[in-house]
Amino acid sequence: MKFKYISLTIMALSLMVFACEKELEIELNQADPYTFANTDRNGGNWDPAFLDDFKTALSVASPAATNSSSYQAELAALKTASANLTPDQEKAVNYWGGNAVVRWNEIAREMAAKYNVPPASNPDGTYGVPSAANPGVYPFFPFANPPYAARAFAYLSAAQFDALIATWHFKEQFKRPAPSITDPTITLRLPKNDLPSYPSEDAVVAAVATDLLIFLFPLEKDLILAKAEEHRQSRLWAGANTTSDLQAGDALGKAVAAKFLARAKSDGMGKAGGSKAIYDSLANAAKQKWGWNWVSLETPARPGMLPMYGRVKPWCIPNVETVRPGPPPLPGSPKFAGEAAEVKRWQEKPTAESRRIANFWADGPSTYTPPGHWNRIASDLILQNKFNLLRTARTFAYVNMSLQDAGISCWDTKYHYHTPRPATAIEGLKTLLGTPNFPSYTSGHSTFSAAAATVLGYIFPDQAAKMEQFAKEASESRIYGGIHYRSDCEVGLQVGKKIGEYSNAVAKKDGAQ
Amino acid sequence: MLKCCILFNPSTFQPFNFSGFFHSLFNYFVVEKQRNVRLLAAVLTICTMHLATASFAQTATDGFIMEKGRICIALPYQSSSWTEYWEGTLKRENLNLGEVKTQALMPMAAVGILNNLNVLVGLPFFKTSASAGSMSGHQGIQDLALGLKYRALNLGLGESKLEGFVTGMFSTPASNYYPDFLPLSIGLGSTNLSARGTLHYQSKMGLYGTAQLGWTRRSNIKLERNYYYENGGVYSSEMIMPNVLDYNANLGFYKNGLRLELGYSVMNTLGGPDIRRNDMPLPCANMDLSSASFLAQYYPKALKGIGFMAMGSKVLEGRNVGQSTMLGGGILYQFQAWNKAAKTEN
Repeated sequence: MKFKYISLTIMALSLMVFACEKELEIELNQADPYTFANTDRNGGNWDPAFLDDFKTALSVASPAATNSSSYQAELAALKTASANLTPDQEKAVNYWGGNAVVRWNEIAREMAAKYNVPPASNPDGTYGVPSAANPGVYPFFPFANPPYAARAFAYLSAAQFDALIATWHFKEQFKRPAPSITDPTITLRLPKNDLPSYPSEDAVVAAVATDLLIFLFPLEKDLILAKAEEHRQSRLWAGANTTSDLQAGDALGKAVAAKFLARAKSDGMGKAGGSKAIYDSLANAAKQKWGWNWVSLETPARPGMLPMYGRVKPWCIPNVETVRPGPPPLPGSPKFAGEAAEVKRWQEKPTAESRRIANFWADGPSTYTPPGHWNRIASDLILQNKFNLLRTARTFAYVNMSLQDAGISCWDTKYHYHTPRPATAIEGLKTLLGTPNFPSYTSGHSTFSAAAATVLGYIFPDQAAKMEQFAKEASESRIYGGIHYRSDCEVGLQVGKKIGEYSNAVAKKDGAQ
Repeated sequence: MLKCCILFNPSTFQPFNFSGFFHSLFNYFVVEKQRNVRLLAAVLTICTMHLATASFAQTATDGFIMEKGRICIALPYQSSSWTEYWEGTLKRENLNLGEVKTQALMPMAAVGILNNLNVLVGLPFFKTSASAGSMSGHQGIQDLALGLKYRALNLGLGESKLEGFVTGMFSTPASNYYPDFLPLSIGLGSTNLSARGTLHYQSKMGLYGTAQLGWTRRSNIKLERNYYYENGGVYSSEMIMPNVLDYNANLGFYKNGLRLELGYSVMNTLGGPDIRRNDMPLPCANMDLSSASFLAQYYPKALKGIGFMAMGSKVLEGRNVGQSTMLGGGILYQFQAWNKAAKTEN
């Protein structure tokens, strides 16, 4: 009988265990509201990334005077809107009220991960191509692979940066005080800052993000519009902006987005996918020149990823030829044999640490890609340093312009040399990670990582050594994963660093640091 | 005379949930949740049956729990493979995986602590491989499983018998294998607690029927990355593993050391995402399946406690799992370790 009680006790305890809610520890710096380290009041004088002529190309209507009846009516409406909030409204105020540029970056990362799944093959052994004209037909548009994601982050970030420089410029031109200063009976639900409120930087950021993200991820239109609407409304609920602040910001953001959309539509991305004739000619050219060519390891053979991405218009590097590295070690050479042996050794005898590193930096399908990983790292540093929205956008802009330049340069190198992957070149090699469907030399992870680490090391000098260490680890992770040779990685790091320095050279002259 | 029989449900041994899929930057996973839980259930029933029949004073109709002092050791081997899997509800093949094969060697033991209480232990070794593509298979010790089975009901119905058991089981990874290599990982990495109820009816003629219902709570698992996409991005290196409900029914015949059994079992993961189109499975995927199984077992009288078994199973329907076919065999040995005074019949 004793055991009956024991088993009953065990069952009761088990039920308690079973009933517990499961929770996750989230490892992400939260963009909760904080007081900016400074507000960069002179930010309107910084050099933009792209819109050099914004002072003449853009205009913002003069706001109504603070003592005008129309503005007084706006203040009264704002007072009402911000007086009593529902829990959801409070949540929205806090979600958007910390760092809205980081929030939109998170949303872009979310979309990159969602769309980062390679299309399935058709029954006849071909592969469908995602179509921007028909995004909802499988394979859905886009396939947000690393080059696509890098471009998406770059446009979002550079456009927000330029739009916020313009915003800061117009804010100082009109110097409309924050609503809670003009009417102290309005309670500001967010930390105070000294920025003029017209046009609203939040409305600018939301408008830019809306137009660019809908262009980049058209199937997410409804979600994007809903987020943007909540973002704008949150400024009313927070007592932070009046309707005219928001309307002016919205118009300004849309105008800037239009300039960037024009660039995006003619930057060469539409042709980056290439064609059968182009794949064949690239492979043949490599075979003639180097004696080898890359082949897809997939069944059915999948056309290599974005063979003409190397021709997409870069941001800070003059052209791809300037940064294109020399050829990799020749197959058959002692150096090549040594590197092949190294890859093989890590596959046959992985350690707990080599496996961890390979997995940590893999950022493969259904993730935000390596560029997204570096955006996450950048976000954490931005929040730790309590950057305002303008300085946040600047950080993302240089990081992401360098990331896309890295992608463009790396893809140029990949298809220029067209080298086989280890699993093709090394007989019987089985790899820890899946082999990506494009040539080996140089490593995309290495090039992306060194570029981003170099920019982050400039913006956050106390983090430079750590960023470099991250890049080196991300780079070597590909050897541990069995999908790159050491030369792919080391040369990728060198080129990435050079590309990051091109971005830094622009950043050093922009008046911000 | 030893008329050993083992109540072995082969479906419990089946490498259950291999979900395959593939990818251009391929990645995979093997879905093997629940394996250990079922393993323990199997150990338990194996050994308890054995015990019952070992005692000559009793007959096989006495029920399936090992008596005090008896130990049963089993060493089954099984090989399971699939070429098609369900991506959500879409059944497909994956030419970049070809045939995904899982082999397992599953040493296990059951010990009769008391006449109504058994302790179970198991420690399986797994090895996976794919016939196509260049991805590494994996191998190693999977999860240590420990269990307690208690006979809560023991009812004579004329010459037949109805018994009821409650079982609690615990399993936890016994090596640092990585669960996020599906479909080639060797396990799902969670620490599990399960509660199980079993009803067993046996007629004097040797026919029997068994019904089981089990519920398993699975712990979060630890990943070597800090982001994954599960119906939305998750910034964590932990993954919530949904709980699992499973049930099965077996019909069998046992007489003179020979046992034949057919089984049907269902596993239902209580939540988790589907594999997205052409995406890779996550360990937390919503893996469901039903399977049919058979078991044959024989204890030659001359071998004094040594027995042999052969088993097989096939997944009939599934979701986010491979349609695996399993075949296996093994040897068993049981003996009276203590309390020998009570055992005069061997």
